[in-house]
Amino acid sequence: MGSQMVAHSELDEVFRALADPSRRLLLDSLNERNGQTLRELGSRLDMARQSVSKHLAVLEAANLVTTVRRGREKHHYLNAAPINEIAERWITRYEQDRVHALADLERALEDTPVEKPSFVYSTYIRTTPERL
Amino acid sequence: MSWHQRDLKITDPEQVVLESEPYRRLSYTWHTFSAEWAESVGFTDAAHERLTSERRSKITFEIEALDPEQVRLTVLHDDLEPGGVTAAMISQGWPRVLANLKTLLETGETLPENPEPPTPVRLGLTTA
Repeated sequence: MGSQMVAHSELDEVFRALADPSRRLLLDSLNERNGQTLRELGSRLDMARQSVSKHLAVLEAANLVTTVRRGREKHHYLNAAPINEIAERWITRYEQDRVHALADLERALEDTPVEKPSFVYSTYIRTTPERL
Repeated sequence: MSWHQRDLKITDPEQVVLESEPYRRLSYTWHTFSAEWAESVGFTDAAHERLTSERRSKITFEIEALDPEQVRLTVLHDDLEPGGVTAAMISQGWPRVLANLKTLLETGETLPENPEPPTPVRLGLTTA
């Protein structure tokens, strides 16, 4: 029961993060082009750096966005983990097939592949770096 | 670097470790989709051909110790072919592999067999 409570509060955070239109815009922008820096996101969306940074912090806390450092730059990626959990929880396997089929069709129709696609998954594990 | 997947071994000089910092970061190029590999996963010739025409992708693991009891693991798979089969395959494969890893480390046991059909079947790329 304890773990279910934790799962609930994690989902609360996800939905709270999604409730804001600016944050959804940021997610859309990352969906279009994953791995953007703070500066890139700001200029693409015409949003002040401070507000981008504030919204990204909320998205990161909800584990919807994860960051990867490359040298001095910090790149932001959509995290597949929570989205996957939501899908597994509420979308049955049958529907998932349909969702996949729809997504495939959409992709084929649009034929506008993201220029540099990447997959990011970030998770928390009760272990040590040495064991992992 | 040679790649081992079940009983299969794939060697290719282009499979290289790009970065290695023990317990922190590991990055290497993805394996070659050899004919034996395609056969072992039941891919059709057409699907295998599409895969081999795609660019070689890259995987990076990042480990951050948050406190003595927990770590954050971030897996970044990039340099993927836009709209390619590799991207479709790995984005469905990783969540289960990583959930399995988490389960194993926390409970000492792996997840039960996957009740869902493997991705390639769903993508219509295999004969199975």
